[in-house]
Amino acid sequence: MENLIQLTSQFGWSPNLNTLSIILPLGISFYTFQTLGYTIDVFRKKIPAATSLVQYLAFVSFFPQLVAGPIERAQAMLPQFSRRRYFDFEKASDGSRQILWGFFKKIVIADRLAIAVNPVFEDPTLYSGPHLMMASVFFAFQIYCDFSAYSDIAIGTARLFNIQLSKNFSYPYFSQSINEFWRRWHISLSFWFRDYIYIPLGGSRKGPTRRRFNLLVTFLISGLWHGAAWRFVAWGVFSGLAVGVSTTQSKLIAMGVEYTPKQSTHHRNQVIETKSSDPVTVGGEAFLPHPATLLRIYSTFAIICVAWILFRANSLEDAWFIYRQIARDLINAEAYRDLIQLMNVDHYQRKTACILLAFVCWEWIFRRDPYPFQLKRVSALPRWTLYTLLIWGGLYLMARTGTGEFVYFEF
Amino acid sequence: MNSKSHPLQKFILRLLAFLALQALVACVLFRFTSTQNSNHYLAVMEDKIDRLESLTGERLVILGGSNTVFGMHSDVIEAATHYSVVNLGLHVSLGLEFPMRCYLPHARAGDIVVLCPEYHVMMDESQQIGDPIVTNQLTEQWPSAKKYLPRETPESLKQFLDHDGLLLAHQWVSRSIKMIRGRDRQSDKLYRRSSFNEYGDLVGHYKIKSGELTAFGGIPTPEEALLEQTASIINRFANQCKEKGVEVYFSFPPFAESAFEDSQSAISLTETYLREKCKIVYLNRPTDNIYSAHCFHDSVYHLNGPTGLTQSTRLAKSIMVHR
Repeated sequence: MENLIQLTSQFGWSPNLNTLSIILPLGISFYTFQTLGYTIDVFRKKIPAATSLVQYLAFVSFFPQLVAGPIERAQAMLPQFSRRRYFDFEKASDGSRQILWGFFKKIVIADRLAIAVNPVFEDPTLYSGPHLMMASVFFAFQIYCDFSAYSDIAIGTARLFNIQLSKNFSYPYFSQSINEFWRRWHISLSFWFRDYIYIPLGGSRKGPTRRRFNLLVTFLISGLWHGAAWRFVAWGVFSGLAVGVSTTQSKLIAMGVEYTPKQSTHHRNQVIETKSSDPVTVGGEAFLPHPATLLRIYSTFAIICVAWILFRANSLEDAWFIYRQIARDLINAEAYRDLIQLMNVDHYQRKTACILLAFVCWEWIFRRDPYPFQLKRVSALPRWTLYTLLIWGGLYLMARTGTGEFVYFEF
Repeated sequence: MNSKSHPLQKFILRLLAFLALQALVACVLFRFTSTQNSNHYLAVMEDKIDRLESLTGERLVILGGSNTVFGMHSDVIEAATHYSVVNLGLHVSLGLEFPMRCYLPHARAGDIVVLCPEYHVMMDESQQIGDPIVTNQLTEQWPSAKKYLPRETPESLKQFLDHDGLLLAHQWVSRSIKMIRGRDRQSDKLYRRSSFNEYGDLVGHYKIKSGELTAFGGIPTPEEALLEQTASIINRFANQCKEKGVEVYFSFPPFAESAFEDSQSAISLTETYLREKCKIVYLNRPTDNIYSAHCFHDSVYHLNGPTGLTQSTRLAKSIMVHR
């Protein structure tokens, strides 16, 4: 909203925020994606035009995902509204579990991390390199737990009505390359950009140089969608370049003895052409990851954190300062000692780090499931005990941390 | 009944069973953890107010957080000033205004009030307002505290769920954790109503060996708006006291040397700001009340018995200087 006001003021029109709230209601950017996708698909004759206004409006304004996605496709959603629906006990139970998991991630992890992250990004000049590094890692998990929590709640709520929404996050931080990350992070948006921007631009059909250019343009638009600020532009450019480099690198790796390709043929228009080289299970099949796998996961995560600094910093100058400070203190033992001392003193940060570590382990153990709280192989008594612990644990922490708005509500 | 309605029926029954389980958990937590304890640390507030009401002569009332509870020998001050002393201090997390609100309805012409708030309560927004969990505990242990607290009773179910309900849940769970861990340490034996004397000073720690001080990370430089808020609360209180014929003195709290080093600029800024904005009598400077770590009992504000005596003697002298 603020971005629009800024933009229109360049043309001499400064609209009132209240007026804009009426003209541009809640979730406008998300349902714009859906309606655009529908219009283009109908124009391309990929799907027939909807014949029922009610079904079309239900598709556009389906309440669980209206505000922050997942961005649904008409070809997946419209048939679900047109068929006769019935109540499905299994889906509703599973949906309820997913809602509970979403609330837990938001209240216990994301909101807790926000308290540790916000002051650091408000004034990064007060913090040492290791502290800024820790805040960047915390932010990476804050935005993940916050946004994926919303998706979990939306998907779970839709399942209560026997409507299947698309998966939006699939353990992105266990990705072994930037390409894989973007296939696992905000999947519905990544694939929307792939189908409606990257492919029409030519995708990978016009050679490697043009492919890299197309990737860059796609990510640049994605960055601008997040906000009319230079840091988002820089974030988009950085992500586009990272995917471009990662594509080349993955191709080289695939030629060696790395993981077995899942399929031998490549879709000619994939944003990330090395999809076939993804392991079947994120992070590999083994319970304990191979050191090389771990190294790949770690390096991917580190690059993603570098990008998140651009995303979260208040300005490009702040982001630049954070990079410089981290680089300067990289081998400064004193700075690390200070951070350890602070962690010894600050129980909140220490507990937050422990909760985060437990969360990462939990996700790793259950990474084969669509979401890590499905508990398929767990009997009723421990399951209900776990739900109870989650609910009361959430209430306990909520009284201390309060609840913040979902990060993606502003986009 | 249509056969397709069975799964929904099954789902609703399971949901009701689950909700019943949660209600049962809430009842169990409430039954075993939420009982009024007449010997609770916070329950001593009732005794303090009783003393304040019962004294007929000239009174000297000390207001602050737990620094006044630990570091005050009211009998020494009483002997030196010939005023009947009431130590109304209790807990920093009750907020800056709470002790003021407790005193004002009982204020009498001729009283002297010594304000001695912790630095945190002057420089940290959440501490300034008070911790709702602690205030909630206070009202549980001493229901009359409600009339001294600014919080309103919830007007709607939503407000209850958003605020008070959450606090209750937090309290139940945190007490359950303590019970499971069997936490009945020395410190819990000290933080009891029976550890106070008739003036409202904590005396239980005189016989206990001082432990390690609670870790302290230094006070960050406060924003001006926060100091403005602190000054406005103090000025409002001072004006109300003046109208009732009560004199207000200000004393900076005792503080550990190690913690002072990391907080010096914040404290200095606060002192300058208060002296400029609040025209009341200042009994001392922050640097006058800095003691080395071994003079404290368990935190950077909690003086041990002997140092508390020194501090009280000095405080009494400075009060007499301004009489």
